[in-house]
Amino acid sequence: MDTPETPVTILVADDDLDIRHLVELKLARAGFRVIAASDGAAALALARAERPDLALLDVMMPEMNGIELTRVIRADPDLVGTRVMLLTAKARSTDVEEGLAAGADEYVIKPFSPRELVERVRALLAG
Amino acid sequence: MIAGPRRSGGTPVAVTLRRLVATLALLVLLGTSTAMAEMYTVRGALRTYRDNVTPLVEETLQLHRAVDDANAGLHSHAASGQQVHLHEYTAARAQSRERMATVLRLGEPLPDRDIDEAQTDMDRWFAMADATSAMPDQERREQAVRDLQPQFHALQASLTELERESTVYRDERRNAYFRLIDVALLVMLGAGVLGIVAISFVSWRAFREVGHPIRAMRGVVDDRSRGVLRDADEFGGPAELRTLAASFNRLSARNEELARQQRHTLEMTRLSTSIASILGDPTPASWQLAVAELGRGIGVDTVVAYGIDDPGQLRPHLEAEWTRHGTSRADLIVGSATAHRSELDTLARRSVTAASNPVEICETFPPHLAALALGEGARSWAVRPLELADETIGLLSLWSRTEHEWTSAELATVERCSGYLAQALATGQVLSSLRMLDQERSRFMAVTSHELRTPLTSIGGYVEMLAEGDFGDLTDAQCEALDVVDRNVVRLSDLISDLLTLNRMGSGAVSLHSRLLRPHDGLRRARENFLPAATLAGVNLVLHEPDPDLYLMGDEVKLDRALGNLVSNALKFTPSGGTVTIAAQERGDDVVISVTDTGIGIPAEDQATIFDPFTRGRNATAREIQGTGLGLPIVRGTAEEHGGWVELESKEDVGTTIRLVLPRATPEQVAAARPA
Repeated sequence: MDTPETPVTILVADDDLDIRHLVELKLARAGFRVIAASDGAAALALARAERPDLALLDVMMPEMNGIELTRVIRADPDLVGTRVMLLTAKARSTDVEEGLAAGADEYVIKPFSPRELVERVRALLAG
Repeated sequence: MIAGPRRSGGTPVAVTLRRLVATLALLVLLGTSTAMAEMYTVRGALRTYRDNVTPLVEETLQLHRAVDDANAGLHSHAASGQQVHLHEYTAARAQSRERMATVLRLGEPLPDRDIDEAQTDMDRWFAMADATSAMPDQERREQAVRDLQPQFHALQASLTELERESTVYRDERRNAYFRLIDVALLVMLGAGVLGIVAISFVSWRAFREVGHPIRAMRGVVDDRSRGVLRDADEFGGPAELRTLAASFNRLSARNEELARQQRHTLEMTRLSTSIASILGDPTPASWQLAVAELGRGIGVDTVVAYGIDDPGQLRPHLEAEWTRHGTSRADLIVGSATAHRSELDTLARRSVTAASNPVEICETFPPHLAALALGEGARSWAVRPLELADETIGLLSLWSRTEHEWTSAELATVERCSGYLAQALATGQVLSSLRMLDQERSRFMAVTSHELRTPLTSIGGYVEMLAEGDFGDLTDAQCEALDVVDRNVVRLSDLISDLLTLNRMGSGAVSLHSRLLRPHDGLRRARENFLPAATLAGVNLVLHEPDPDLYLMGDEVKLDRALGNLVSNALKFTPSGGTVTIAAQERGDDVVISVTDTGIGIPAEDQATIFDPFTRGRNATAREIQGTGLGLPIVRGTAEEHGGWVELESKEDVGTTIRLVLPRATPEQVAAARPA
């Protein structure tokens, strides 16, 4: 599915170091190229620099939250190829709706299983 | 004569009546005395006629006859010489003289000459006759008698004249008497006519004087009773009626004033009621509406409600204000608050401070505040403390640029409204602090859930990676240990979810995503989801398929979760070999979704509290069956969010049935939700 020459790049943005490492580790083991940021502004800069295939964004982040960042990415013509998946601890349907309305393709509710996360990432990238 | 109402004086009715009676009495007296005088005169004339006039005529005739008899006697004696005839003569002579005496007495009114002549003639004749009769020789006697004839004829003529005179006199008297009677009749007729005229005049005058004003006043009273207000005439008619009219006018004015006061009081009561109903909603917007309503209702220019942050410091701030024109400055207090706290304290201690004009403002209000108010152009002002349980929590100030007489009804309304306002301000403060608390709690829960879930994600994630050998192979014991950690991560995660759900239900921030649902579908889904768990537990999970045409309006996610809670509970508390039955049917206007198990049941003493958070059946705890006690509260909360309720039927060691009763969708809702 993934060729070493053109690895799929995934941007992981989460202010929690442990989760960020967990996701990085699991996705790297699954064969993805992972770039990571610890806040929204840094994530946006990285996204513009690297144009990742997928942005995995935590909703509650300093500087710029995941939903705002989703809007900015969606509004950026250079980032049309970037899919967005939100990670949220807010299970309320209104938050999910807000995220999807902002242009997110998918959302995952914390706590999540890393295995399931990889499966959903693969499904999203394949779809 | 009186014509129309006079402008001054006014004769009392008693005087008018007295005059009337006196006039009548005078008239009657006059008439009666005139008539009596006439009658008396007539009576006198009649008596004279009877006693004098008629006898005079009679006596005159008798005198004439007696003289004739004497003459006859004289002749007979002269011819016969018989003594008998001489006696006849002397008797007739005596008779004649007697008659003549009577005639002389009665004949006074007759001419003296006639009577004197008759008397002289008679005396002379009798003297000659006496001499004749004394002659003894018959022939000489006869000759002397014959010689006496001319004298006798003269006597007869005198007597005839006398007769005629007396008859004439009698006729004169009789005519005079008839005239007298005629006059008396005329006088009496005149008196009668005069009496009638006088009575008519006096009656007419009495009517003008008394009847007319009374009728006019009755007209005024009638008009008033029909609601046409006009005053009675105080300047016309008798004094009593003028007094009565004045009293009536005063009474009417008083009555009018009372009616006006009554209307005013009623208006003020309505105003209070209206303000109370406005303040039923304790928000700043309604305080604003309330002071505006109060200002317009009482008719002042400005109404301001102040709150006092710290009663000890008396530092007021504006809570609501209203001004008639919306431009001028309304506040008279905040600016001066720091400088003249003792003055504000004075106002806060009084029940009400009200002044109707600038002089009263100076007299009633503390000096600095009075000066400030007058400087702002206030000409009337009232301040009432807003009190709650004897504590002053604010001030209500009403003032106008015109003088305003504060009625007791207005002050009562101000007092009542200040009570409502105090209550509303206090309630509003409590509500806003409660709202803040609630927001605080929601925020806290949101942060907490995030903060709890973030480490759980790491724990769960790394445990999973460990268990799946991402970090190298594990021994069986290590795998078991990780399994325990993983199970507890899931448990903790569920607990957080349940807590959040319950928190949202309690906060009332419900957002139902209602749509038309078929219990048929929901129940099938539940059975599918729980079939693996049931199989694992050795419990028979039975679905009584409901009518596919049964519908309800609801939030699918929430109802699925509630049904899931019920089924997972049933499976948890039903020993292997038991049965859990899911069913749904119609009951009146409701849909009843039931989950029945043959499990351990809920002890009777726990059934009343089993739907409270963190409450579990004591047999569940005793058997070490895990659970948080949040499942059933969430089920009940969900039912209530949907306008329904839950029913519990349970017997220990026999089983439990929990029914979720929800309103059935109306035919209109079914029709609207179905695509055409």
